[in-house]
Amino acid sequence: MIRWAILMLSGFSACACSSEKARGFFAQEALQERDAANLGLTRTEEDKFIVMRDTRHCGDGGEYRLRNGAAVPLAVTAPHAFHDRGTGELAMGILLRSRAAAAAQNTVARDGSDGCKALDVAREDEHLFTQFALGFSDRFPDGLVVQLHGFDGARRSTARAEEAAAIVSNGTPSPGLDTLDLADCLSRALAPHAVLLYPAETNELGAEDNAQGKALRKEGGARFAHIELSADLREAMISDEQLLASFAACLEEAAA
Amino acid sequence: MSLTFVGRSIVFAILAALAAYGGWAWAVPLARYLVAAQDSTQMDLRIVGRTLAYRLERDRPMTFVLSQPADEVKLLAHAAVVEPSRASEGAYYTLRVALFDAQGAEIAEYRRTLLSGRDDGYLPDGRARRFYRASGQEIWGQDQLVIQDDQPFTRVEVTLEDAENMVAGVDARLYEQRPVSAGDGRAVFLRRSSEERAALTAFSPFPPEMLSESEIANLAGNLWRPVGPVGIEGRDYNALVIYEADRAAGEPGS
Repeated sequence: MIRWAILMLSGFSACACSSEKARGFFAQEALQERDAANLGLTRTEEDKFIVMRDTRHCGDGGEYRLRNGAAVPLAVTAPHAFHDRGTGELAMGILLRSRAAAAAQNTVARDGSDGCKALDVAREDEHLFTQFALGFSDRFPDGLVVQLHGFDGARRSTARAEEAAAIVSNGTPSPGLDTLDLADCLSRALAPHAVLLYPAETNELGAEDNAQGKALRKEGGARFAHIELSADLREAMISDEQLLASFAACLEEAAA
Repeated sequence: MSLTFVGRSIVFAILAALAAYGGWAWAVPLARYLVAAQDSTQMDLRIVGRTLAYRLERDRPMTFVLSQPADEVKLLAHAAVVEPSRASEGAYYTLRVALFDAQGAEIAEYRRTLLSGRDDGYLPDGRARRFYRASGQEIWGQDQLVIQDDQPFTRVEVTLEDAENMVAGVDARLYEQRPVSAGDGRAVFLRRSSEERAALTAFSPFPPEMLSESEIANLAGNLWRPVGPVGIEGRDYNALVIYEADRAAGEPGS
């Protein structure tokens, strides 16, 4: 019994320590290869970005790209890049076409459809994805962490949500002024497609249980925005540079 | 006892360090608070919806292209007013609407002078039910024009030709009928919210669940969807977000 308790205690402290280490790592500007390796990530450099990725087979640590040099305090993330088709591509596309400081996406499917163990990083409090959000918040306390998701209109319970192009939320039932600003900007950029504001205009897909949103609110640093995108809008933004640029400009404006 | 020069310097250094820390720690929250406070008169409203409208420019047409040829569209417009005189019951403005066929030929033109009524709905505390967050302009009553023509048209141009002095702008929205295939009518109708279903069946003395299949199919064929203007926002047209509130946040039921 005592041995079991010691094992539990040491496991817990190791986990907390590792979380703190990961958070501290992501809060840095200069990320060392050795530190990345300690977190199970492979560090490379591509053009203007430091890229860290869990390259192991079925490695679920995620992929993180950080801009070298001056940037807008914006992190664009896609926690369901496989399941919500196109969101990972959009997150990385926005990073390339904007001055966003960082982008991230998951590396294994949330439903196990890639043959790996299923993992939904948007529900994991201790995952690197959450530590990345917290580390980003430490580095940019006034920044914005945006999460891109995809929804299937046919599965929505109301016609209004079914017909929406996007649903914007800050993960709480009380959208602040910055969330209203973001929703307004997206409404103008994506017109005439409907952009709904949670919960004023729809009570669906508000992400109140999102792990990264909860962690950021608890710590009181960077803001959180959760954007659900319809399949049509994702396809349109992937093929329409102008539309993606308008969308990215709204995110930059919200973060600046 | 007076402080020496070194003592004074130390005290000033400590005060400067405290001020710097305070600025570093509180500047961002303070800035956020000030921004929020500026908008606080609108933030304590319970928002129930947002709508996008397009600001018409005088003598410059705004172009809407329909998704398919239609013989009917709906135009909603209202005046945005600044510094109205107390006696004004409404604001007059004149719109020109031109319809074009698929070949680009103008097939009809209408000029209508409309009166945007002053009483567009106020909350019990006197604030406007519909408002712009970013502007102090008052939104007055909404007018609806149903534009029909025997010939199908694919393009609609709307121009603001004239308006009273107090009219800072006229905002318009254009709607086309949503195509619904024959078998989808019932599903389309049932997926509307209860408020939308009630609005669609307002003509009927019976509740929506007592409508026949053919009545439901007809209602589903009467659903409208917005059409956006041609061009790029900010360059070719300006879009404005209109907020609608139903009560102050502190009122019962909020």
